[in-house]
Amino acid sequence: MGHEKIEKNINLMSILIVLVISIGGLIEIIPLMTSSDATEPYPGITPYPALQLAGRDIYIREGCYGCHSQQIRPFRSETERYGPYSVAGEHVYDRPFQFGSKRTGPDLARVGKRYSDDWHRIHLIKPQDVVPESNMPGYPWLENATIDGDMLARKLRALQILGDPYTDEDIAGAPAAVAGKTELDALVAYLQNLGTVRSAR
Amino acid sequence: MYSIKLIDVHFWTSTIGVVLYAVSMWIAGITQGLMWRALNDDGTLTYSFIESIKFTYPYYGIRLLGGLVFFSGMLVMVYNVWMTIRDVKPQPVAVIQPAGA
Repeated sequence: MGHEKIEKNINLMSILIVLVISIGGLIEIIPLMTSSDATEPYPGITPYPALQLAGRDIYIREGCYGCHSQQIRPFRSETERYGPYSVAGEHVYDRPFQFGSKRTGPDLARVGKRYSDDWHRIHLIKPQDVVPESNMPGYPWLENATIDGDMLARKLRALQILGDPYTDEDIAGAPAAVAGKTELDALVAYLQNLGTVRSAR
Repeated sequence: MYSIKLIDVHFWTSTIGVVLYAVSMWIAGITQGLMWRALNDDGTLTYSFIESIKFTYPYYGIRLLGGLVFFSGMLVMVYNVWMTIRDVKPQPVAVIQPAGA
């Protein structure tokens, strides 16, 4: 097939472009689908408990990923600052994952247990109260908003259908687990668990 | 256009504004990346994260300045366009007649 023939036939060229890009993409993607490193949970990793899952949804809703990544790269300067580098098996229950690449603020992949719950509460309401030079905005409304337990149960159900190993008891117990909790409680619970399973060196 | 001079003003404010904006963010970003990876001789980190943020503040200021310069140029353009299109009256245009018409 001559080059000229392809260049003068836009439909043929489109098909061939799609073909080439597909091959390039599939070669990268398909091996990972069968790799246990990427599909099986790292030892100790479990699906998010109800309150943490609610907190994760708030993290996504408020756009935290716009400034905070959750992936520690395997470089000395990264592991020194944030802890052991991230591995794929830690994120098998992240739908969608929050890896990110924009670090206006620090990486949060292992922020769990680094600060106290009280520190997080003050920091989320007004970051400058604990870090005077911070450029992070405050999220004071989280303190006054409660979590919809029935909606949360439906989210757990959806994740169960997708294959996350939630039991029916987990789903039935979700509304009780978040009863009376604020969005701030949920977000702190989520942050305090981030990366803790693999944080010990 | 109403004023060729104002077109020049728009051109130069845009150019200077973009350069201020881009250069300041370039310096801030590269330096921040270098600060994150800087290690002391004993292998510990040289800078805390918040120090890398503090470093960028003056450059955000320069970016703001560049953005304002750029925006002021856009206002000049709006003024120039407005002055050009207001009170438009049909103008007679000379047409060359074909020979022998």
